[in-house]
Amino acid sequence: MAADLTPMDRPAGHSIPLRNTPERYGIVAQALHWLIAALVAVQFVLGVKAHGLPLGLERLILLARHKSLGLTLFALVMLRLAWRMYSPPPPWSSQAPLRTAARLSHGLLYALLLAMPIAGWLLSSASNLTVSWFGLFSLPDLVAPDRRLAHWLLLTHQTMAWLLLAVVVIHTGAAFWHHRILKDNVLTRMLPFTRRARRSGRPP
Amino acid sequence: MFTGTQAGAPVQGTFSDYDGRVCIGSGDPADSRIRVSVRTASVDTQLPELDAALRGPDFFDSARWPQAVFESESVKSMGQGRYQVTGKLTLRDVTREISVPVRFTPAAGGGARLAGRLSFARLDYHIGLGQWADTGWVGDRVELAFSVALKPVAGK
Repeated sequence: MAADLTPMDRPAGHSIPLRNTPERYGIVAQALHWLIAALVAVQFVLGVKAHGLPLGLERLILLARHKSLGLTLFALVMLRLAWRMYSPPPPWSSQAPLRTAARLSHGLLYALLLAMPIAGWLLSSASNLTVSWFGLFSLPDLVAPDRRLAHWLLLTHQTMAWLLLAVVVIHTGAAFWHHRILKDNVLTRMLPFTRRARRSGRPP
Repeated sequence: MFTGTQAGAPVQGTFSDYDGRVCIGSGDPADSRIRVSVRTASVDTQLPELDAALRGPDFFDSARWPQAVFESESVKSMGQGRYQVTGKLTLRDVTREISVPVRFTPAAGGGARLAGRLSFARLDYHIGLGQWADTGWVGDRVELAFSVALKPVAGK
């Protein structure tokens, strides 16, 4: 009988565990991280593209997809946070300034990732364009249609988008900084295909 | 108030400018006549761009056809203040027969309230042409609900 190797059976260090370890992120956290990252990029492009279009079918379709994906993104971020609680991520840096900076930027990242879809939902309600998830079901409207409120919410949603872009740039920049300058495993522990051992973010 | 759908979700709006006349025959409701006209440019969805599009050539084309008109041809009593009103609805350049169940509630001071709802296919009336004719993204079915106060007038 051929050996049926499940990830659990494989020798340690040659596969990604399901759960996070002190050394690296597990496959679930990694999958959620990269899926969320990809969706945020798509959302940004859809949002900017739709905003530049005049009212028309093309914009309606772009925004419908933007809203469906936004709701999906919200669910994925909640899932990621829940998984984080179930399986704690690798430890923060032991250096206080780095730890504070990481905590702050991650907190801001999560806050924006959750606040953006909610602002979008409010904006959709105020704009009289109810959120539908790929045409399968609709979300209840949070507020009554109101053009003044919609105008204000659009500004909020947009400001958050640019803020999120700024935090993503900081997040990505920090990951490369850790990799190239500090030469620790902060970047590689979120990558699925790396095997090379690197010292952890904590100084020995 | 009307309700259409976009991307599978409802979108609602109202018309603020309308006028109507109900002539009630003595005793026999079949004698009644109803005529309602709605100024299509008074459409309000709380979405200024959408209102502009609805007034534009692809939808109501309010510049060419400022009024939507319903004119009754027969009224049948269904009992308990309910009536089935059949007549002609004109939107843009299309006139079609339509039947509307209404409820007539007498109010104090000789007035009354007339309420009802109807549903029709917007494309039957050429509402939403060009890119908007795609009913996958903008539903064909539109619901119209109304509740109006009638005031007694002298004469006729």
